[in-house]
Amino acid sequence: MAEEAYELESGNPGDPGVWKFCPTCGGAWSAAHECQQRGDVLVQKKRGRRTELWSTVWFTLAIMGILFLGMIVSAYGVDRGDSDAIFWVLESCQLLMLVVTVAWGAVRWRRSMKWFRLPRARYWAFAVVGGFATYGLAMLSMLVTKAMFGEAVFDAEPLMFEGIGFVTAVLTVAVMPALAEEMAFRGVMIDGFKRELGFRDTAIVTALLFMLVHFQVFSFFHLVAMGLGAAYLRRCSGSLLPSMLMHFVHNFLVVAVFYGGGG
Amino acid sequence: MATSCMHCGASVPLASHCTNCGMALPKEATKARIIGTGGASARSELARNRHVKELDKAAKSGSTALFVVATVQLVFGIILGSMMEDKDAGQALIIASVALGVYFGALGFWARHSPLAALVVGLVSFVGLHVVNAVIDPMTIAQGLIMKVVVIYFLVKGVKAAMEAKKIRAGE
Repeated sequence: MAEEAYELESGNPGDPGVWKFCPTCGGAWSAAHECQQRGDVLVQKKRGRRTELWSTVWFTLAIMGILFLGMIVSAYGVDRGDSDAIFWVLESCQLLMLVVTVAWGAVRWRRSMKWFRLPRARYWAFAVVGGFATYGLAMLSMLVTKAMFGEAVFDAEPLMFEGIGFVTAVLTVAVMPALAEEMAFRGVMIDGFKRELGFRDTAIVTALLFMLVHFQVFSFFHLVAMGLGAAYLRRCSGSLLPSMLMHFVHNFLVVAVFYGGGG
Repeated sequence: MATSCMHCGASVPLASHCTNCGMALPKEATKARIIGTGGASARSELARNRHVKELDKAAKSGSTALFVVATVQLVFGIILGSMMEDKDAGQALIIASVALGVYFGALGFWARHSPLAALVVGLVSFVGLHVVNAVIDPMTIAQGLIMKVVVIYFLVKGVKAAMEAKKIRAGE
């Protein structure tokens, strides 16, 4: 059954009115927009406006698809002990994600240019402190998890670094995700969701999605904390650069500790 | 026989029009509806309130869908995990299922307070996780297909309703 009322031009010269008729009983709608027979309420149909929320949802699904695909394919590399495969698959996915995000940002370039405004000096300091804090949280949750479930949970990380030098590891594990993930989550997604959801809900949404795409059950706390911290850094500084630095510091510490013998 | 007028709320005798406000009353055995959705808004305050109420109800169905997903994850994950012969794999499945169950359950509760945000996360998570499952094992596409379609339908409907309700409340 049609969900909208019929709309007919009266066709009489001098009568500019548009008459509306109930789709069920055929009677005319009253001036107060109620069907005189059934009592249904007619709401004025506006021209459908495409909301940015839906396009951002599609963008999020695309990013999730790319990252999940990378994790699934690299999981086969973990099974076979093939560190080269893990490295190249993860890097290809990060690169693809960066390309998609840059293309997205390029379409909305006026807004995206603001991502790279230079923030005040104190936000750089907050970013470094945030990077250390989230790294500390990650270590804490790893210790708790290892105590509860054993070492096996974290067996993929050493394999990922196998056979690559420190500089390459820094570029691929610290620099690349800081650029690609921050532009996607704190750039495109925050801009896309903010108008419909408001900033607080947007920060929670992007933090949860950031946690989800990492697909690590035991990293819940530090990933959500990092997502929230980066979102608020973006808001307060008005730039994406501090959140990129925070992400970089966190990931750099992972690499540095591993290569320094802590791994 | 008396009825409650949907326009003014007064208890009036069942007739074609309300004796209190004069507006049309729904005919017997018919249920008054809001006609037209999608970027639509009613012009009168009364109709707007009724519209928002209906939209809130639709958004709530999205929250219920999240609770259903949480329950299914928990129950089936624990049952399948405990039935597996490989104990390590079984434990991993139980941990993952409990985590996802808690995650979707928490989103369901959040959806009662912030329906739009929670349903967007729920929708993206649900679709994303099932796409992953489908890539890992294409046989899972057909498993529980009707439930997947129903859940996605209610989540999408909930997101749309929550967006519309928000716009009407904001007076757009």
